[in-house]
Amino acid sequence: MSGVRAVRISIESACEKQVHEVGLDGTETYLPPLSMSQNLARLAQRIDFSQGSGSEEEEAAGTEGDAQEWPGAGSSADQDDEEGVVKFQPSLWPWDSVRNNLRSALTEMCVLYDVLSIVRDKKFMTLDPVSQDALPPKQNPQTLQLISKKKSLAGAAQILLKGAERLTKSVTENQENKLQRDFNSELLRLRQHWKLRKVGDKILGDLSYRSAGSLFPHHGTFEVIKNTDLDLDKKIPEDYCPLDVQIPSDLEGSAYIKVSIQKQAPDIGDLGTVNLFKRPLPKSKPGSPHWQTKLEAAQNVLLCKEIFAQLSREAVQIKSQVPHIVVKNQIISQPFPSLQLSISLCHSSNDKKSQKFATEKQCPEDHLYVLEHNLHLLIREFHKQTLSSIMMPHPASAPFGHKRMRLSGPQAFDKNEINSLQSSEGLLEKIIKQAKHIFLRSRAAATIDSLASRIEDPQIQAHWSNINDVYESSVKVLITSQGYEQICKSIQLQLNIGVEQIRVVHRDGRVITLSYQEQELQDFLLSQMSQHQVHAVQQLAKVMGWQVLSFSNHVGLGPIESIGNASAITVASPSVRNGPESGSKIMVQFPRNQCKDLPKSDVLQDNKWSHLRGPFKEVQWNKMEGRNFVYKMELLMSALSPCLL
Amino acid sequence: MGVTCVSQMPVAEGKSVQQTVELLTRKLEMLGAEKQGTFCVDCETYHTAASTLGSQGQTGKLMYVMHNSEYPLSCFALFENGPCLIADTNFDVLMVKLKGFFQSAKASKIETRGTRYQYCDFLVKVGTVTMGPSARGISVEVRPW
Repeated sequence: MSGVRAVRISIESACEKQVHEVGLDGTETYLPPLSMSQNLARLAQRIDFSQGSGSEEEEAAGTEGDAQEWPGAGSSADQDDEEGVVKFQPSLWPWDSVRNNLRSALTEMCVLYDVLSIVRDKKFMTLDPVSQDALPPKQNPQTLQLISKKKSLAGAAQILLKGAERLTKSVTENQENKLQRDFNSELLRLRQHWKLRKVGDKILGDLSYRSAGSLFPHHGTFEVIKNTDLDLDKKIPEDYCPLDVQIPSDLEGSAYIKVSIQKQAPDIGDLGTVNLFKRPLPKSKPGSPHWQTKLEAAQNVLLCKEIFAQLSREAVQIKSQVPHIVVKNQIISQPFPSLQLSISLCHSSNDKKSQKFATEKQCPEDHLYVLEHNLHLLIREFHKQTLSSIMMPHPASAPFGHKRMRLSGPQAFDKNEINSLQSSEGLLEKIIKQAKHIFLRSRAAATIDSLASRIEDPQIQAHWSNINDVYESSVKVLITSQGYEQICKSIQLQLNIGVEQIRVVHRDGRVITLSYQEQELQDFLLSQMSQHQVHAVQQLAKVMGWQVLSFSNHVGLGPIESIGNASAITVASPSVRNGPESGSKIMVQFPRNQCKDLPKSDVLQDNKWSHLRGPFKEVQWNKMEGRNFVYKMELLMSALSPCLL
Repeated sequence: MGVTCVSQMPVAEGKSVQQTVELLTRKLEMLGAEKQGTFCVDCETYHTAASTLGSQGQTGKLMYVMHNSEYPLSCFALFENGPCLIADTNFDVLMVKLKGFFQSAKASKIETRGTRYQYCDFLVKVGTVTMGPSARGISVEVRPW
């Protein structure tokens, strides 16, 4: 229908606020709408939780019944009846109880959810714990901190103290255990130094040098035993050791090899009476246990026995010009005619009897420690040779020896080659050579020193070299005059002291070989000293401008010298003849006119002949001033040189 | 190096072996040779044992084992036309162990013993060759020294 205005239709909600009261002027006071909590409370009041599902079903049935009032009242009546019957009969629908349970669970979950969401806001509902006792009166926060810190520190201290107590306990236990050392730990220490092996229930060790290359047939086994003689009642001694070693009886005590050179000829009756002295045991390291010192001493005894056995075997087998004598524990040989070298094995056991002897005689002056040390070195050298690559490895069928010696058979070496292979010298020969050299050297030094102290006029100086060989030493001997070293240095000798000879190399190139005789060296040095004087005059003449007329090192005129030869020099005009024994003789020539006792001759009439040189006159040399020969000579020459006025 | 010459010296007429040797040595000494010691060369023969011979009946081989005092640590073994072996002195012990294969003919051991002289650059050895107790001849060996 057109033309009809649209009608405004306003829709408003039906839920109006309830009117609380109407005022006199018509204003309506509405009831404030229920808040959420009020609404909930109203709803909650309507729920009757005590009735259970049946009541809900009733209600549900009731509402259903209301709802279905109009469609059909008949059915609702039936349903009512049915519902009434339901209370007393199990439900005809099998899922009924499930539905009811689920529904109730849903309801409760919804309620719980609502409550929790409200409580979360904390605006309308809060969770309040059950009230406790009243709090203690509020205190100063700092004291509270102090108390709490104290408590925590006390707790930490308690833990630390417990730990410290445990540590101190273990330390004291350890110290106690040190005194009561374990046998096994001691055995471990022993194993670090010595070779041990277990045979049955015994522990045996090896203290021989066999593993180092020795061929000595001694077994050298010692036994390790447990020290069970510990009296537990008494206090444990300081040096208690649970382990003890038992060394073979022939290796007990201490031993050393005494090497000495004596000057007397060996008398057969005197043999075997060697002056033995008990050398004090070498100090062991302070921390080493007693078994270590015991084993080391036993090993030393074994080595000394081996050295002596080797020496005596060689002394008997090797042929030499002067046979060596082997008596009991001594080997005597004669390196030089009037000299006796004795090598003896001194083995002293540890009983009281030998200690008595030790206090009686102690004369170690003639023992040559150097040679004893060298003996030890030589035997060790020998040991090393047996382990060297030329000996080992060797085929099982070949004899033990040098590699090339094994090939000498198959390669048909003749005698020369075999001799060159075999080691030429044994231990004894080497030691004798060394002893000879030592003796020769000491005697040469003594000779030079005695000459130097006895004779002052030409001075003799000896410069020994620091580095020497076992068989050779060298010394440089200079003969000089004091104050004139620069001009008179023509006598310089290099002495090479060998095993049996002394070789002298002169500055002018001559090489002289002296034997071992002491007198030869002395005579030679004396002759050199006398030659020096004459050489000195020659040099002096050069310096002072005098003419040398003749010079001879070995003059054939005049008395024969017993040592060396006299040398003479004629300078214009003092003439010098110097001999090692006869001393010096200086003659000065005078011109003829100064001699009074000249015979007048008829031939020489002229006066000019009187200026010629006349006879010689000897100068009383011991009355000359001057501290040595060259000085006196210089004074004489200066006195005689013509002064130009 | 030089060459070694070994020759047999005929025995002088009407003289024994010893006398001839003495004659030779005297001559050498008159020439000025120096006596330097003795020498000995010996030789033993071994047959291969019959048990090792084959069924064809091949002839056994002969082996000679020789020793020379110039080479004191060696042993020389040689077959007749075969190889020569230079060995250690343990070879003799080995021969004892090989008794089953090699039989020694003890009676056929020959040796020559004598003196050696050095004459200038030469080494002269004059030896008497003996087989068992009887002297059979004279051997002279000359070699450079």
